[in-house]
Amino acid sequence: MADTMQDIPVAIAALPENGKLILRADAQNADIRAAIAGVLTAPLPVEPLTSMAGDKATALWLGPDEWLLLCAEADRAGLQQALEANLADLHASVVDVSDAYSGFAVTGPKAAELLSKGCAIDLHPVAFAEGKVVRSLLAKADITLLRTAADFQLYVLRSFAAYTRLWLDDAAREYRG
Amino acid sequence: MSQSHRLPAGGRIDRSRSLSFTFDGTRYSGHPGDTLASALIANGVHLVGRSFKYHRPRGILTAGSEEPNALIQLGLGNRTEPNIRATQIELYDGLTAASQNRFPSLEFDLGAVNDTLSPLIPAGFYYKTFMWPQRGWMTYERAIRRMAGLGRAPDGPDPDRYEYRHAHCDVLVAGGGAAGLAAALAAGRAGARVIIADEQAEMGGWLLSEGDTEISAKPAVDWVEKAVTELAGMENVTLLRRTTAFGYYDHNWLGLAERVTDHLGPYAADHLPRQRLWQVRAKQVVLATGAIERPLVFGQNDRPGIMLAASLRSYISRYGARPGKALVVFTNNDSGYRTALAAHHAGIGVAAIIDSRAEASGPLPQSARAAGLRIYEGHAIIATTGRLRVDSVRLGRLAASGDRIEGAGFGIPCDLVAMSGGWNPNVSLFSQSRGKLDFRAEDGVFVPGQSFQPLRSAGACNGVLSTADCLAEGFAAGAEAAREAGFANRKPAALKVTEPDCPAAAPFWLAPPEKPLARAKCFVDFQNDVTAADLKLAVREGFQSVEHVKRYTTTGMGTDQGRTSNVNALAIVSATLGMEMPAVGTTTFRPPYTPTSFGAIAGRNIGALFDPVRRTPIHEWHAAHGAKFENVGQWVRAWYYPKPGEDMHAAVNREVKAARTGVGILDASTLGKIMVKGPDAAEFLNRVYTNSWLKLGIGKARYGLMLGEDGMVRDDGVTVRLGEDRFLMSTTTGNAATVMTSLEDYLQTEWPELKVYLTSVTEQYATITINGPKSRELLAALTDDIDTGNEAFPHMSLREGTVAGVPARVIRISFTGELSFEINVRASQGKAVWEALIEAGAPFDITPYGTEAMHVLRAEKGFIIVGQETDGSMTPDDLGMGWAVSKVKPDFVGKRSLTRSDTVREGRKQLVGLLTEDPKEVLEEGAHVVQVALQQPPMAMLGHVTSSYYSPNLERSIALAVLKGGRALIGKTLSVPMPDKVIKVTVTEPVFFDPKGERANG
Repeated sequence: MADTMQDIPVAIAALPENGKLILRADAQNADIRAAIAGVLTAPLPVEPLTSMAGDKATALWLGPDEWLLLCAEADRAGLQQALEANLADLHASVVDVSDAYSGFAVTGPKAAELLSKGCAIDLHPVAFAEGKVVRSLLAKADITLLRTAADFQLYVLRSFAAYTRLWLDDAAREYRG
Repeated sequence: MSQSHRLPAGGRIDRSRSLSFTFDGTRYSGHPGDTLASALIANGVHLVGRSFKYHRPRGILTAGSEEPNALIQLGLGNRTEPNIRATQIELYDGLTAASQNRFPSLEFDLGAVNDTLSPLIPAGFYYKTFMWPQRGWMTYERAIRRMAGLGRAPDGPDPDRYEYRHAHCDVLVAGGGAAGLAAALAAGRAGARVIIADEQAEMGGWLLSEGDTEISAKPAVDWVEKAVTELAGMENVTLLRRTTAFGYYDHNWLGLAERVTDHLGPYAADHLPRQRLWQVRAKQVVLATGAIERPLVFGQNDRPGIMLAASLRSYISRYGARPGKALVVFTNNDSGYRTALAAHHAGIGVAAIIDSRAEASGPLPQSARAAGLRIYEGHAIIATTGRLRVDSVRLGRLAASGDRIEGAGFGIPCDLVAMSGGWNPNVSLFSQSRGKLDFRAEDGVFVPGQSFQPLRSAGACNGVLSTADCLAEGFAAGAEAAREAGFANRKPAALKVTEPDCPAAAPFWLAPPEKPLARAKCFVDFQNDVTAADLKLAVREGFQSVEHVKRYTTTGMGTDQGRTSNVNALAIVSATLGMEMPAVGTTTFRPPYTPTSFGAIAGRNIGALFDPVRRTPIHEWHAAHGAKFENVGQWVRAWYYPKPGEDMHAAVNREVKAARTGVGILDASTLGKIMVKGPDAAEFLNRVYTNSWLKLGIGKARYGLMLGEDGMVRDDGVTVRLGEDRFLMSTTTGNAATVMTSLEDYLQTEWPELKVYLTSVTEQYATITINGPKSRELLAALTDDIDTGNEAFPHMSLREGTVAGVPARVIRISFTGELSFEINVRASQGKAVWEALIEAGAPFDITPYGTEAMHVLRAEKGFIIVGQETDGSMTPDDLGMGWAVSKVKPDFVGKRSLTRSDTVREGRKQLVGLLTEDPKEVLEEGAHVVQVALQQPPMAMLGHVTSSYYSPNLERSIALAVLKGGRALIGKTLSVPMPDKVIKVTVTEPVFFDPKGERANG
């Protein structure tokens, strides 16, 4: 097709429903880290504003003791159970928030520019490389923003999804002349 | 009309194309590259407006954004915009512009009577005159505003789009003249991320107007083109033309206003914004904002045809216009001669150069002499003549002291006067950044001193004058800024510049006028019609602070913020006070640098994007079934569901009755929900709620009150124990986020030893309340794994199972006093479960009810709503809820405050019920309650009505109120005074329905 992604300055799509868990635990504790890594098959990202993509889930650092775990919807219950089992004797919390958040993917050469209309974070690749994650504002919505190899992914509270979609489409108008 | 005043050649205009435009209804033509000002001048039009106060004819003074006079009403309809500087309006075909502040026409303006009366209306006239009678001001003001004022705002909504953009860079360069371009080149070549912004259509600044300057042995404009091409080719450089850096805030955060399509007028593409507001966070800033020429203050120095000297040069060499035929230059420095020579070379007659200095001997004066131009050294203009355009100047020989004229004055006919009082470094942004200004006495200018943010000033804004110095400072500043931002580099080599030597000016603040000063009209602030006499009057009347003088005389106010007038005003004030200029100080520079449109500031935060609208997972069903909605913060909730023919009252009555007699169903999804997890979870709840939580059994629910540290009720809700170390807390809709934040705050800062984690799950679940005697049967119909019997599933308990085939958490709690179940399912399943309940409830005539019915139902029971019965000043005891406060717990948030003298005193406001004498009368919420109603206020107030409804179950009105010593007043009759009557009420207990609370347990 002639209409490759490169030809479209920016595209916006709702992300498919996926599993989302909020994990809260003390990452200073080696037992906890091991218990979690055992399930995720990847170490929990402890560097601020980073993420780690494992086989089972992608872990997004949200705070010193808080992560958002993204997984396939089919794996959600299993992942939660496995984490809770591994962490049973440790102080940690795994809460299903799959329905609480909606996700969007913003792709294309103008993706960062579009987001910068409402987000004060520096999204230039120098400052916001693949895998970086922040919690910030997009216009008047709280967002969790992740840069992947292919796109920007942003998660908003479910009730903000309609506003966010409206805002993104409106902001994209400039590139659809 | 042909462009009668266009030079035969030259200028950066595209002579191959003509653009047609109208000004005050007359059609003219210009070329691409023209501004409205240059096109008007090329058509011989100098008269473009009437002044603010005296309605004096005014012309184009400058060629830049500092213009005080040529303020134009641009465009038509809802796109019209007032007070736009003609010097910044780029010409497009079909442009429509009009002058302002005149009636009936620019040439004949009735308001000009003010000019004749001017001796009667000096500074402070309005303050002094329209004081009595005081109430008269309301009338005076309207008339005065009509007389004054500038353009007019459009009536309808703005049809254009405005966008925002956040940006980050290593080096932000404000200004794209010689210094700015040099700084951007140096920083860009070092690899730094650079943004360079310039307010004009073309980068280059004054280099575009100086035909006598060469850089590297080529015309200066060639270097500009080369520099811009190089910058445009750098991926790390963003070039922003038509972009004003208007605000410099803390942490190197700057606001830029980009005029994206203003210059295209109606030809702008639809999808592009008209303007874009940039918010830039820069590691380093280079200010290269140039300098602004200073007018000279002399008698009648405001007539059309009198311009700043360098601006005149710009109209000649940049725009190829011929602003007049006979020029007089009045100067205190050599750059006036530069203008005279430029005019002379362009074929404009130079009638005289009048120099306030006793001797002019630099290279430029010598060239002028060599060209045969007439020079009057040690002279000053003492008056001008001409009604709508200057037609002569009168001059005289200055005494050695400079403050009076010796001998008789004489006249020289002319149609153009160029004045040059030297150059004021444009320190607005520097000053906005909190930078301190230093005074340089030799040429009387303020230059940047100590700065408090990572910035550096370069070029003319830093007080240097030559192009060579501007380039050198620009290169150095750009290189240094990049280095500070982490990019090692070598400063670019200096460029060879050929330009006339033009040393700094000798200060000359006020030319002694021919007439007495009070009648001489020596204007200092052109936009606000402030004269030297006004300033001296202000000082005589006792104003000494420059800030006071500014406000009394209005000098330095208005859309130009005194860009051309401030330093002159300051000099005249300090001379009158007999003080040094630095001792008097400057007025404050505030953002925006130039007026910034409201559209740009609002951006896309309009209409549907003004604020997020949050909808519940079941919203679509409500909408499809005719619900009326109400806003609860950002949430939109179903308010009531009118059936055909029903008004709100009828619908709410029906819903309220159904919820007590059959089964009602409510969407309660907006309630805040927080998962509380950890071995110390019960202890944590014990500290944040007023009652006891340690012994709550698993599967049990409990109501809790949350206080602020001041002991006042802040939130309430029901929390259930899901497991030994796990609770699900609910909060009010409005406080969900606040409670979450404050609880997290307590855990992180006050009780870090508690092992508790919180996670907000407000939006994970849809919450559906079924309510009424039939609700048990309904629930039983949709579950096969929850025993709904009264014994098996008692009030204030939780069961987990499936409802309508999906996993659900069901809590038996009640906000209505009826048998009631709250069903929580995943948000994505909420609508399906609601629909299943509606379907299964059909045999019971299930009735959806909204927030209004919910409020009536809970008021019948005297249940409080936080934020309605409470206002941050109610303790649990005030609300009659002392039962919810543990007497034995060692501590909880707010406990200590409950024993303060003020919280235990007699006479605090307490929650009570009110019943009106007339059962049909519904009190107004917020109405005040008094013991005895007097004819008119003031009356001793006891308190106010917090909730008031018609209760269909009681078939009468009910109200809740908070009254001083309220509980002692139960049984008494009080009054509620209204504008048209006094309503008698009896004070009661706040529970109106089922006071024993038997129904919820049934």
